[in-house]
This record gives sequence, C-alpha cells and structure tokens, in this order.
Amino acid sequence: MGSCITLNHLSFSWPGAQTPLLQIPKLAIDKGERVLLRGPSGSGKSTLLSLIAGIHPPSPGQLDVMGHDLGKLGQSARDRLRANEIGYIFQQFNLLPYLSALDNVMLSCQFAPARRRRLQQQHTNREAAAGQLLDHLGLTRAQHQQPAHQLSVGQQQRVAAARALLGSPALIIADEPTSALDEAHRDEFVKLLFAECQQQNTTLLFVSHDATLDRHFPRTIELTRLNQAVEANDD
Amino acid sequence: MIKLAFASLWNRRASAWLTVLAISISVVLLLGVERVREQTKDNFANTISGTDLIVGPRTGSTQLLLSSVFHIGALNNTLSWDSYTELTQLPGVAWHIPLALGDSVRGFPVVATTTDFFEHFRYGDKQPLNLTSGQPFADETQAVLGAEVAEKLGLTSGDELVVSHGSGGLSFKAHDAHPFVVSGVLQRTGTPTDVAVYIPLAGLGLVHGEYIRPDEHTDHDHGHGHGHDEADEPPVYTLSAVLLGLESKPLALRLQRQINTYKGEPLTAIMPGMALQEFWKTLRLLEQALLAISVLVVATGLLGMLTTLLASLRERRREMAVLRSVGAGPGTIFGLLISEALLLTLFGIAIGVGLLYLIIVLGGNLIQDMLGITLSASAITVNEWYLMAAILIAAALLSLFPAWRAYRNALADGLSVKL
Repeated sequence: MGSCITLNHLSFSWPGAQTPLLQIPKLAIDKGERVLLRGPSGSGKSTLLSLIAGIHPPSPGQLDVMGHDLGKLGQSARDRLRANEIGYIFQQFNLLPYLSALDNVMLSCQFAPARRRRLQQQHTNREAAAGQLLDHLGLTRAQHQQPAHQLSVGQQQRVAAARALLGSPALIIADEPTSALDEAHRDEFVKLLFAECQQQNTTLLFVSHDATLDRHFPRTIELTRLNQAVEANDD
Repeated sequence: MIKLAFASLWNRRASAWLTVLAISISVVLLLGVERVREQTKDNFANTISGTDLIVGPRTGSTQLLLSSVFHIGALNNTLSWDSYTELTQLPGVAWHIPLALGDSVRGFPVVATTTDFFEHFRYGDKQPLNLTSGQPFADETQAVLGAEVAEKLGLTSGDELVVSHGSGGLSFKAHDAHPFVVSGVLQRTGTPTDVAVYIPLAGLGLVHGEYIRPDEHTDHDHGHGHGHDEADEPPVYTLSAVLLGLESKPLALRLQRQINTYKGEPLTAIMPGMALQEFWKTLRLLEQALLAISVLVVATGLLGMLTTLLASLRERRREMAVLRSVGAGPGTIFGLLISEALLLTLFGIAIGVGLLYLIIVLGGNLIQDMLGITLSASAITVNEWYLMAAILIAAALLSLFPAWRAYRNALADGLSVKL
C-alpha cells in the first residue's frame, strides 16, 4: 500500500508562542485509507490540516506527505504539491460565488499540471471530467452553469467535493464538510464522497466532531489522545 | 488569471464601474488638456508662415507679433510711409504687405492692406488664403471679411458695413460717411484672419481723411494744375507693420540687422517663427499649471482605485482562501490584484479615450464657439500614447500596495479564515 501521510515526532508552535500547539509522536495514514479525524475546537485540528496541506512549514523530518518531506520543500513547492495532489473541502463557502458550478470545479486544474496530465491519460479533458463528476454527485446540467451562489448549501458542498476530486489527487482533506448539512444530506454527501474516493483510490482525511459519522469510517483518530501538547496545556 | 480577475471584478461590478468611471474622467481631462495644449500650440505656430520678417516701429518683439499677426493690443508708434517705401526697395525683398491697424467693425479688428495680402500671405503649412465667395477688394470702397466675421455679423458679398475708430466694440466715432461694401469672404483658416476685416489702405485713408480720391483732387486742385504725381500720393500717412517676404531665407538675419539700425526712424524687425516660439515660452507656466492639475486629477482617480482595492481585500479573504486551497501561491494572489488594477485602468483609459473623442466630435463646435478653442478628432499622438502608458505604469505601481497586502494576508491566513 505505502504511506500517504506520515508524522514523526511532529512538533509545531506558532512563531512567538511559548508552548507547542501540536506535539504528535507518531501517525501514519496509508494510501487509499479513509480516516475520520475527531477533535474539539482548540485541539490543534486546523493547524494540523494546514500543515498537511502545506500552508505552513513544519520542521524537516517531521511530516511526510506523498513521499515529500514538507519541511524540506519551499513555499511554492508546497503550493504545487497541494495543487496537484491534495483536494481540500472547507466547512462552507467553498466556492467562488461569481463562477459557475462547472468553472468552480475546473478551478482545481488551474494551478495543477499533474491533474491535467492525469485527465489527459484518462482520455478526457477538464470540462468533460468536471461535468461528469457533477453528474455523479447529482447536479443537473442546468445547475452546472448556475453561478455558485445560487446553489443550495448541500449542492455547494457537492460542487466543492467535485472540485477536490477532479484530476484524481492522492489525498482529499475534508474539514467538517457536513457541519452545515442536515442529517439526510450529510449521509448522502458522505456516501457520494466515499464512492468517488474508492473509484480513484484516493486517501480521505475527514475531519468532524460528529460522533454519528463513526460507523462510516474504518478508522477513527482522536486528536486529543494523539496530541500530547493538548494534554500538557489542558486548556 | 486575467479571466479570473475579470470574473472577480464583474462580481464587484458596482464599485468596479465607479472606479473605471473615475479613471476615465481623469483620462478625459488629462488627454483633453494635452490635446488643447498641443493643438493650440500648432494653431499658434500656424498663424503665419512664409513671411520672413515683420517690420514695425520700435517696440518689443512680442508686442509687434501680437499686434501685427494676432491683432491683439495696439502699437504706440507707427511706421512712416517713407520708411515703408524704403523697405520695399531693400535688396532681396520679394514681396511686401503693408498693414495699418487700429479700427474695428463691431469689435472685429480692421486690417488695412493691399491686394498683395491675398496673394502673398501664407498660414499653416504655407497655405494661401482662399475666398469662399466673391473676390479681393478692387477699390477703396470694398472690404473682405474673415470667415468668422461673416458668420457672426451675418454679412455676405454685397452687404454694407461701417468701420469705427478704435478697437472697442462700441466706438464714439463711427466713420459712417464712408461705408464699405463686402466684396468677398475668406475661407476659414483657424487663424486670426478669420476674425479680421480687410480693407484697402486707400479705404482707411479715406475714412481718416488722409487720402483724397483722384477725382476729388481734380475738383479742388484745379488752379494748381498737377503739382504731384498720383503715385506719389500715399493712401495713408503711417502704417502699423509691414510683412516682408525675401528672395532667400538666409537674407533675413542680415536684413533684420539692417532694419533695426535704420537711420530714418527707429524700426523693429522680427522673424515670426522665432518670435512665436519666444512668446509661446512665456505661456509655459500656464501650460504647466494645466498639466499639473490634470495629473493630480489622474492621481485622484488612481488613488480611488487603490482605496477600492484595499477595501475589497477584507471581504475577499474567503475568495483568497479558496484560491489558496486549489494551489494558488501567494504570488498568484499578488498577480491577481495587479491584473485587477491593470484591467480597471485599461478599461478606464479606453472609456476615457472614447469619451474624449465623443466630446470632440459632438461638442467640438460648441467648444469652438464658446471658448474659441479648436479641437480636432485627429489620431492619438505619440505624446498621448506616452501619457496613457504612464497612467498604466502608475496604476501598476500603486497596485503593488494592495497586492502586497493580499500576499501577506494569503500567507498568514492560509486556508483558515475568521469570518
């Protein structure tokens, strides 16, 4: 299988802070794994996600994503890795309101040559692939062309999922993508996301503090148990 | 990225349009002022050409130029008829146009001259004067009108007009005993010839009582017989200025010195081209003040854009985070802001240029009538291209500031945005 994300004595603190916010001795997530990451706010969840997504630099040797030691990559190399290999889904307001649903999906190929290349290898282009993904996720053809702000929250989240998935990135990070959805929509969303991830053999790191989602995931990680900094601080 | 910038601007189109409008209005002003300046300067330099020397009584060169060519101001001294005859006999003089000024027709200056004026006077690019109707005056009772005079006074060939003394619109002394008949109207030139009335020297002499008609001579001077030749009798005693054309241009310098040191009476000779340039230099301060004001207006327009962009950054943090999440680097965000500023400015400039031409085409006549400024919808000059490029560069430099802010925000915020 091989590893997708490997943490090795990760320790991270904001510049100027006295105590580290994150202190994780060991964590490994394999390729193709579907993992639920749980943790209350303040547990360093968003910081961990932004480290994995390559927004903030960790120290060398502490964090490895897709075989790249993020601590050794520069800012633009991390941006490129994120563009090519990581799909990111926010809690809400994922879309550029002034672009159509389809254009929002295609946005993920804008800065990602590797995604475009993979689509080419699948003998398709980004417009066709984006349309197909939106179809799979249950948006009508008319909705494809609608400006994003006219879509319902559930539809917007599905467009965001399509954007994250387009061009088969290795990892999808979903940061509480269902918290704005009701239960029926939430289950629907998770099911669709799983199906697409499975098809593309994509690793899924799903963050939620919703306990009822447990049953969907083969593996659940409690960040409070993992992060020793929280225990030490105990705020 | 341009497409993205465009879509994002379209999303904020209300404020974007206002910014574009502010920029375009400032562009209209800047280019308009520049155009007025350039074209006025051209018009100015085009008022006279082909004349090698202007000779008048001892006075300043600007004063002589203004009174003889522009009919502005009056000369204190005059040039005697004798001096004029001497001038005409100088070696190298090809042609000569005597000018006697000082009278007016309802505010328009009267220029008393000879038919040589119509033959030898040149303006613009050595263009001769043409008549739209009629012909040059043939005797002392006829007058030729400039195009503007004919239009404003509603006179055409065959109509009568009365010359009054002095240059004011209302004169106490109207020479209505000697009315003139319009013999012809000059074609519009865009120079002071448009606003002048041309009469023969003898006509002016007649009005002022300096000249007696040959037939009246015989009535009064019966007893004396023919004491003098008719050719010797000057039509007027004095002249205001004489335009000289020379056989070869290099002669001008020598003749100028010769005339300036003329023993008979103190005279001044000027070369019109140089005098025009000298005079234009005195207007430079005004010119620069105008330019400075319009540059400041452009700066205001661009600062308005800067404000709008900076203000938009706060509400666009979400947009930036989304772009960051799909892999846009801070550099891309930086470039996005710069492209937005350039797009706004480009549109502003384009609309401004369009507006300027619209104003010139639709309002050109109105401006001409009200302000006396002639604007032509000629192609954009090199200078104007430079100005537009300068605006664009200024916009790019200014946009570095919001772009830098966005860059810093993008680095600090990353994917998390506190709403």
